[in-house]
Order: sequence, then structure tokens, then C-alpha cells
Amino acid sequence: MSNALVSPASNKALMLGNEAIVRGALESGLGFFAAYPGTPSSEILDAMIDIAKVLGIYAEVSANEKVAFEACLGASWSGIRAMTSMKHVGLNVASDALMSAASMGVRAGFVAVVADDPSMWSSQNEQDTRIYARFANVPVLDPSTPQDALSLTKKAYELSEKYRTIVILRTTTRLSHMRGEVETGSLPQGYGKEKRYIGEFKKDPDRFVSLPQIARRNKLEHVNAMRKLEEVEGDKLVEIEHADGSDLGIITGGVSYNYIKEAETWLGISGLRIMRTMMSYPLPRKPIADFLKSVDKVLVVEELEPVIEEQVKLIAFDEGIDVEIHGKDLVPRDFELTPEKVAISLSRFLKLDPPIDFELLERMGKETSALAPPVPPTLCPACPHRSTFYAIRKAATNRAIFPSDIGCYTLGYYPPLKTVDTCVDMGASVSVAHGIAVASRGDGGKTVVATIGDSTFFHSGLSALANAIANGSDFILVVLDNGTTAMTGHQPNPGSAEGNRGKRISIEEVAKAMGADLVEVVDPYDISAVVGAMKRAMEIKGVRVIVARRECALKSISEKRRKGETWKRYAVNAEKCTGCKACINAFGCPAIKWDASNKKAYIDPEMCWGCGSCAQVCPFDAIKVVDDGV
Amino acid sequence: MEYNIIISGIGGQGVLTVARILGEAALYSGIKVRMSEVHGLSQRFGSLFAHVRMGEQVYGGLVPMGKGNMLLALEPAESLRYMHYMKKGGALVLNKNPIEPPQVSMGLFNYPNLLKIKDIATEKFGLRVIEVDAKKIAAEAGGELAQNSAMLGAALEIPGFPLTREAIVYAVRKVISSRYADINIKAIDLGSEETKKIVAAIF
Repeated sequence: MSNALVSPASNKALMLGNEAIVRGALESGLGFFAAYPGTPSSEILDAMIDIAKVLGIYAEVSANEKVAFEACLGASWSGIRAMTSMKHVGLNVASDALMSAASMGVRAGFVAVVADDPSMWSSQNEQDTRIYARFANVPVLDPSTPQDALSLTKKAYELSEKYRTIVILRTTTRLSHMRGEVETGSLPQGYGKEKRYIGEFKKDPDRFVSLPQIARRNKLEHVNAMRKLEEVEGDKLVEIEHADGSDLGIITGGVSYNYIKEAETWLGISGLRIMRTMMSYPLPRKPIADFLKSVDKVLVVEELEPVIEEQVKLIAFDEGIDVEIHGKDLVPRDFELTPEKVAISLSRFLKLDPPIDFELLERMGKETSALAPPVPPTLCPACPHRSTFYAIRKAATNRAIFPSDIGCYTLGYYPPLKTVDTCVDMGASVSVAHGIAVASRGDGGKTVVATIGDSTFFHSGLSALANAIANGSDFILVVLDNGTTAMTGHQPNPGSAEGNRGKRISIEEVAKAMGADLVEVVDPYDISAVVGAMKRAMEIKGVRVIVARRECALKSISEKRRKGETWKRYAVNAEKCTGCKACINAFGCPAIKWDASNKKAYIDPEMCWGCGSCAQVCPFDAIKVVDDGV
Repeated sequence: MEYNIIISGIGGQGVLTVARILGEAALYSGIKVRMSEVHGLSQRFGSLFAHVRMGEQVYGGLVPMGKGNMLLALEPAESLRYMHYMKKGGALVLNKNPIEPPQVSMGLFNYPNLLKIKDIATEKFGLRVIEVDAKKIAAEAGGELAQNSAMLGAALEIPGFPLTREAIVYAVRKVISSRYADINIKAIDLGSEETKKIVAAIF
């Protein structure tokens, strides 16, 4: 945790966009934080968990985004300022709560940070949260830089309390993971001295019980509050540069603003009127209308969907403004924007030559990149998931069908493991397996073996498993239990041994209580044990659950490194190695390499994390411990 | 002044740590800095990059294509993905030690020849290549994990590089745990020393 985040006085530090949001929330008097991790939002949660210990706020890793959202609602209704954070798809999970709570409103400020992932750097889809804001009719603020993220977080709390509304603070990967210098303000009095989450729930069932007659009144009140917010606050949430500039204008928001500023210098132009809106819904109507009246032609530059553009067009139409409006006809709609994409859009809008020959550069880039071997992310050395996947394939053969889920283990898709046939959304492994088990019975009766991580199991797998068992389904579910939410940075989940306030929940006991037809717990590092459990499971029908339990190797090795501990290392005995490549072509640990000149496998000692699974995979007994790590 | 750096490598090599050191060094030096990092899935031994941008005219975190000054390649083949982001005459600081990815071990792909990589950089993109044996330097400094510091030491020798040794050393002490800081600082100095001659010859 950076000192700059918790220092009571104002200071200047290098911060991620996500860290700036954390600081903004603390400066606003945050007391309650709950979230489920998800790239690119996770650093907010990690920082809050660390900070809770020193500043007396409440922070938890929730079981999923809906739970976190609703917990924040309860805190806000108890008079405590609350924040949740999630990745864009997290809002799909929390949307049920958002849509209903939107018109019920808040008591203390409640800000939901939602991080979009344009270009899908670490996501299964690309979606624009600003559309959710419009759908739920709540304001969405869209910062451009880490500094801006801090000040707009504070603005979000101000709006939330003044208009009694949930506010969405929307970031994108390029802002969440952009680092820049940030000047912070100071923290309110009392942090670190007392608990910041002692409020009081004052009953108001005529507002907090969404029966139809109450919901109707809530809705109208909320619609009015939103109208007022837009009218009163609108002009404070836009910035205009070169107000007396040319008759050409740009309307932009979020990180796109940065690219416009750089394209200006790059193209050598000045005097362009630029309007940056910090609130992309509701779009400040009067400032936009005035801006449109001051120009002949305007280009709307925004990432992903034409959310600002459509509102701008609506305003121009309603107000009868005669102005030429461009947007997604010149600016790409799919994937993230980059400085060069925006420079091209701007040069087309201004009918100028682009500053460099992008097409040529891009073509040269493609040709050159094609020579680099593809290096997709891969399961770590000693990853227990690899051993489990290997054992599953060995027992079930590749004729089985493998629905899987969201987590590091989605990487089981890649060769040589190829044990992931489907991956949709959190928890879908179990329900998709159920559907396949019912609907593909005609297909030679293939075994269906689903895999799900422990964190995903608690996030969304529980109801799917209950459904499968209650409907008499027929598949094997292997829970890949590494005791942590690994991909997002090792946050705890309800099954983790450490990191939870309350009790640890046993996955096998849950499965037994639900009535699974077989429940076994195995150690992935013992490959024959996993194969044995699989074979026993394959002999019967019903919903069979195998818990493959072993701590995340990355977590365990990082802890050993931190403590200065050592570990076992394995090596290939070149005399025994026949060069059959089973360790490479069937198991695929990144520590095992191929010596092409001698046609033997060898293990990179720097990368061997000592699980010993490869020694069990080798048909010629050629892999042995060479350094017992003591 | 505008100075754009792309750091490329494979998850686990310390791409983000190098970026972090450069960023802290810039902040220390009073230079406006913007960085872009990749977190999440790619950190699991996949291709990884980070951008570090310094200067008053810098707004966003991404280096615009064709405007890069330095490509700091922690792994040779990974440099191929970002050469087109560099300016003609820009520097490619290249760690000559490959990490063979699984697809190569499996025989699905050939690892490109180091000479060819350097040839493409100079002939096709007009870059000046500074080859660094970071592995050797790090071993000499006392630990293989200090390879990235050897690369930073080499970067310090490139004409136009806006950060000083003092700033980098300050940042190393801030970012890296104190147990490893001295080894890394030694690697920085060895990296600088080894690079001086090469730089004199090509700049």
C-alpha cells in the first residue's frame, strides 16, 4: 500500500487511476467498501482491504458483485458513505440491484465504480457501462486522467448526496491502469482514530420497500431529481477550450480527450474548440446546445458506443440547431481508441493529411510481429490446474465434453491441455454442463466434465449446482480449488483458509448437503489419485463433484520468495530421456524446454517451482528431484 | 521535450517493475509522466508491455505509433511486436537472452534468429540496436532477477534519455525491496559500463 493513499495531509505521488479513485473516496469520507475483484478494477479492492486496517473503514471481498452492491446499499441507507467497484461484466451481475435501487436512492453517498475493458485485454466481451447508466437513469462520470479520477470521485459523492442518487464512476483499462502524478487533498478528521462505519438505519419502509405503489412514487421523484441534477450541475461538468476559436468543434470525454490533445500537437493545429464533458449521462443539455450553436461542424470523439453522440444529435434536433455532427462515421466503434486512431479520425474530420503513414506502419508492424512466436498467457509452473486438467484428460479421454468457466484455468483451452470447450460467464460451466448433459445424450453418451474455480463456484456456481442436482442432471463437476481468486491478484473467497472475517465454507460439505451423487477431495499433485477419483466418478450416473485442492502455486512461491525460503527443483536425466516429449506435448509446463540439438527435454531451474507432477507424467522415469530445497 | 518508452517482455520478467522504476524516477526529477500498464490475464507468462511517457505535451498513457524513442526489450523476440511504434533513429535496447515459449518447445513455431531480429530493427525500422547480455551482468551483480536493472543501466547511456543515474537509483530503492536493492544498483552500473562502448560506436 502506498503511503500517499493513507497520508492525512495532501501530497503528490505517482498513482494508478484506480488508486486515485481510492484516495478520492477516502477524501470524501468513505466508511464502507465491498467488491468482488475483476480486471481492470481489482487494485481498488486490494488497496481498500489494506487501508481498512489502518484507517478504520470497513472493506470486504464479497462473494459476487450483486452481493457487494446490495451490501453498499444497506450501508448507505444506514448513513455510511459506501463504494463498490467491479469490472464491466460485474455490473451485469449487479444490474438487478442497480435497476431497482436506482429510483429508491441513497441516504449517505454511494458510488459504484465500473471499469470497462475496451479491446478486451482481460475480458470475455466489450460493453459500455454508460449505456447501463442511461438504462437505469443514474448519472455517470467519466474521468480522463488519474488526477481527474480523484476529483470526479469526490464530485460523485457530492452529487450522490445532493440528489439522493447512486452515481456510477466509469473508468476504462487505460485509465484504471494509467499511472500519472496526482496531487491529493487531505483526509477528513478522524480517520485512523475511530471506526468509520458506525451509522444507524432509520426505517423508511415507504421508500425502501419496492411495492408497486411505492415504486411508482419513487420513480417520479427520481426522474425529477435527475432532471434537476442535469440542469443545475451540467455546466460545472463540462470544460471548454478555445471558446472563441474556429467554427470547428470537438466534443469528447474520458481518455479520448487525451488523444485529442495529442493529435492537436501532432497535426500542428490550434484553435480547435474542444468541449470535454465529465458526465456522459445525462449529457449537460444547455452547455451542449450553446456549444453546438457556436460551431458549424462538430466531431464527437468517444470510445466504444455512441452514447454522447446520440444525446448530442437529440439535443441538436430538439433545439433546432443547424450543425453538421460527426461521430462514429469517423471514429472507430469497436475496440479501444489509441492516439493514432484519433489522429486519423481528426485528420479526416479536418480534411488534413494524417501526420504519418499509419497504414504502412501498421502493415510493417503486422509483418514483423508475425515472426515472433505467439506467447499467450499460460498456467504457471507448478499450477495445480495443469495437473488436474492432465489427469481429467487421461481418465476421460479427449472424447469427453469440457464446459469450463472464468479464471486462470480458462487457459486450459490452449494446447496441449485443451480441456476447455466452453467458457461464457461466471458460473456458466455448471449450467452449460447441465444443458449439454440433457441435450447431447444422443451423441454417443459422451461424458461431460465441467471445471470451475473455487471463487467462481461461490460467485455464481452454487445456484447452478442446486439446479442441476434438483433436476437430476448427469455430469462430473471438478472444482479447481486453489484457495484464492488467483487471476485478479489473490483475493480471498468464502472457501479460503485465510483472509475472511468469518467462517470458511467447505465446498465438499456444500456439495454433500445439496445431495451430489459422489463427492471426493483430491490433491492435484498426486496425478494418479485424481485419475482414480475421475474413474470412480465415471462409473456412476448423477451429479458427481470432485474437489481438486491445492494452494495456488504463484501465491505459494511468492510467499516463499518473500520469506527468503527455497523449494525443491526437478531436472531431466538426459540419459534416461528418450525425447518422447510427453512432458512437453501432453503436459506443457512452461519450465520444461526442448533441447533441439540433443533432442532431449530439460527443465529451466529458474522456472521450476517444484510440484513434481512432470515426474509422474514422464513414461521413462527420467525426471527427478535434484535440489531438495533445503 | 517528449520521450516515449515501450517496455516489452513476458509476464513474470518484471516489465511492470521496470515501468514503475522509470515512472518514480521521472516524478523524482520533476518530469511529467504518464504510464500505461497491462494487468490481469497477460501477467501469466504471456506477452506483456508497458508504456512510459515523459514530457509536458504528454496526456495519455499510450505511446503513439511512430513516436517511440526507446524500446526496452527484456526478451528478444518480444521486441518484434513493437518496433513499428518507434521513430526512425530510435533505440532498441535488447536483452540478448531468449525465453523459449511453450509453442516453440512443442515444435509449433520457430524462434527467430537473434541476428535476424537485429537486422529487422536496423534495416526495416532504422533503429539503433544496443545489445545487452543482461543475464551475464545480473549474475555478475549477484542475482539473475537483476537483469532488468542491467537493462536500465544500458538505457542510461542512450543519448537523449531524460533520466539520471541518481533518479533511477532513487526509484530502485523506492520500488524494489531493500534486500535486493544493492544487487540491482550494482547491475545498473555494470549495465551502463558495458553499454558505453557500443553507444559510442553507433550514436
